[in-house]
Amino acid sequence: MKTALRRRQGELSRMLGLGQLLAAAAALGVACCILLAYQFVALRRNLTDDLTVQAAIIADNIAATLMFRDQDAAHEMLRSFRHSPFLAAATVYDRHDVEFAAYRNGAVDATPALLHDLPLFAPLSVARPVRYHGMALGRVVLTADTGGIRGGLLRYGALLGLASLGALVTTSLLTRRSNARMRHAEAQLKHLAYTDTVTDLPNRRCTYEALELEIATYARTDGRIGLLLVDLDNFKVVNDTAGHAAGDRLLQQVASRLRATARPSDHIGRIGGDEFAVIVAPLDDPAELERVGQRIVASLRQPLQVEGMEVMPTASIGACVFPDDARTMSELLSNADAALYRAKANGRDNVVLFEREMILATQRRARLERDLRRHLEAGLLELCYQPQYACGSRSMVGVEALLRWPHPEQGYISPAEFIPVAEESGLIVEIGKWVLERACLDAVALYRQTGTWLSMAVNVSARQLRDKDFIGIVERTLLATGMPPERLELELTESMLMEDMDGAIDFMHKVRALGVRLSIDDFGTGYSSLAYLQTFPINHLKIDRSFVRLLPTSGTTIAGAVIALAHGFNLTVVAEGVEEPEQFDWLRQAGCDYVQGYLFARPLPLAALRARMLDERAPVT
Amino acid sequence: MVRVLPLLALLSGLGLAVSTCRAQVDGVDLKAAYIFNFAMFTTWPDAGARGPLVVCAQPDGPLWPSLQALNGRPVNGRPWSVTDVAHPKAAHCDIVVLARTAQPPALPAAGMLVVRDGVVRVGDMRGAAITLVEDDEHIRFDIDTQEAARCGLRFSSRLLRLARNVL
Repeated sequence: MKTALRRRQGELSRMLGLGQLLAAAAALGVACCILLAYQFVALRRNLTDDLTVQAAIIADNIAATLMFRDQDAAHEMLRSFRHSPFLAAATVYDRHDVEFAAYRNGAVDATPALLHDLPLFAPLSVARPVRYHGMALGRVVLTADTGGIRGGLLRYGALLGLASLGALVTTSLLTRRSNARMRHAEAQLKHLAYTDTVTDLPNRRCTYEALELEIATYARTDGRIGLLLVDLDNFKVVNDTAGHAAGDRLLQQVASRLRATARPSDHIGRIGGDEFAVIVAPLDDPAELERVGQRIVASLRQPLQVEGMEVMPTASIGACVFPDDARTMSELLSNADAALYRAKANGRDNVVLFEREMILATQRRARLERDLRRHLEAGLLELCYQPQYACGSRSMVGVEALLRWPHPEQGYISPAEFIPVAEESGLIVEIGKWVLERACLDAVALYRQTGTWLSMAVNVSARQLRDKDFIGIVERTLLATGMPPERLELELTESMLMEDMDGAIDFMHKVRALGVRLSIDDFGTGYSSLAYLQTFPINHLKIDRSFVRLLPTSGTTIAGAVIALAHGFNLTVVAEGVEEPEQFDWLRQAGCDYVQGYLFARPLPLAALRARMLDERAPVT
Repeated sequence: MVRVLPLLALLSGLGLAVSTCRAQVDGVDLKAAYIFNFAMFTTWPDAGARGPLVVCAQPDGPLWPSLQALNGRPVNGRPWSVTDVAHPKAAHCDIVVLARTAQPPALPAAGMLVVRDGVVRVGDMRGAAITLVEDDEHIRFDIDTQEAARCGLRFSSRLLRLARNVL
């Protein structure tokens, strides 16, 4: 198909070149005709002029012979013109138009009959009266042979022909060169339009066209095509931390790995910033598609050197088979996308084959997003608060604000389900703003009602942290609600800090300058770096519930280390998910500062929290 | 015998009203026309003269009527005027036509063209610048340029070219 297209283009440009040449030849032909006609007129005019001069000479010289009727002298005089190359005949008539003397050159009969009959080449005649001192004596008629004109025209025509031929050769050479340049430029434009300049792979447009073509081909033969959507898991981190040049280098290396891993017959294209497509065609066995995907995942798992940095470019892959999973190209793409989404949700660095229920999941996500937006605006979201207790005094020192979504039809929807949807759609920024404001208002209200200030911990999402205006939002909320900054505690996760280290540190310093405290949630679950811990201006560390759950039989090493580490950095430690008294005992002995969990209190609505606060305060007072 | 056709052509060429109905035409008209034509190709010393061109002939000569018939015809702007050679004004002749045997003027004056009609003896053309001869039934003429030069006359080269002999 591609070569056929190229061949057709080649023919087109050849025909174009031929057309230009023909046009030039036609133009030269017209010019030659005009020049020949002009030359003909000029030659004829010259001949006429020469003939007129000769007639005048003869008329002048023949006068005396006419007057004295000396025919011999007249003949002799006329014969002196026998050397004229063109004079065919000269005849002298007397006053009565009776021939007096004549001279004939045999050459006039030598004119080819064919040309002789042409009016253009008919012999030329000039008549001139013979006079002497005003007396009319007769006339002289000269006839010229047009062979000279013919010869002149032939020579001139041959010269024009040669010149035209030379011009045509030059033109054809020049047009061939300019056409070649044009073809080259066209090919370059086409290349740019269809190729990704970073990886030299086909771009999105080219890939989609290839996919469409493959679908059309295999739909006829009942064959199968596999589509793999490959999305790099950490491209954004590399691009943001090491720069675009490093990002490009990473893409190039990923592209070459893809090329090396895929089968030679497969199409590979870059269809997005960090998204590649692999069209596996033909696909004899649907299971083969997953094997290709696994090979790609495995090959990308090998560390790469990018700008002196070691990067592990893991990828998530969504796979979909035509016509088993989808019958059209757009369906194939969106189903592969759904599978890719699932692969990302499953923790990345894996391959997920499309399944029907993914469409349902996608639809459910879309519905959730729609409802969430509507319910947020309608004020249907709720906050509840899980108390935090000091290990020593066992008194309530603070709460963590937790978002609840009581769906009118589906009941409470788990944050694990709707928070990713909110993060993906960007709705999390609005939600986060509402949560912060609500939490602050509630904390202030609680103080007014109970006379006790609680520390209010609010979770911050990565998306909010990227929002440049977030620090402003915090500041305005504190002012608007009358919340003392030191009572507010923002909880960050370490993974979001790693995403944009400089931005995160900048934000943390600004927030700390306001007086707001910071804690790191889920410490120990990600790629925690002790070095970073030193540079973060934080106040608390939270031990993840996954470590606490193991206590006290196992997991004591990690929990103990975290506590010691936090104290070493002068941080307080909060253990979450404390459910058993034995866990609490161990934590208390290990020096943990605060605990949070079902052992002490479940997350409570505001009213219940207030009641509990008043309740707990009573025995003290 | 003189050819008739050239004669007719010549006379009509000069526009002369000659009666052509006569079957037998003498050579005299032709000779008169020749003499008239000689005048056309001759340059007289007094080139600016505008008066009549005086042609002197003997009234009893054979050419007289024919010469007479040309009276009034312009020769280079001068009217042809025939007069008796014996006339007192003969000294002012521009052309003198002598019969075959007539004696030439003893000393031809300057500016006088002497034409003799016929030769006395072969080679003897003394006293005449132009001598008309009949040669093989053609009228031809001989020119004596020395005689002409003596009279201050110059002939056109075209005339000289047509002469039978040029001395």
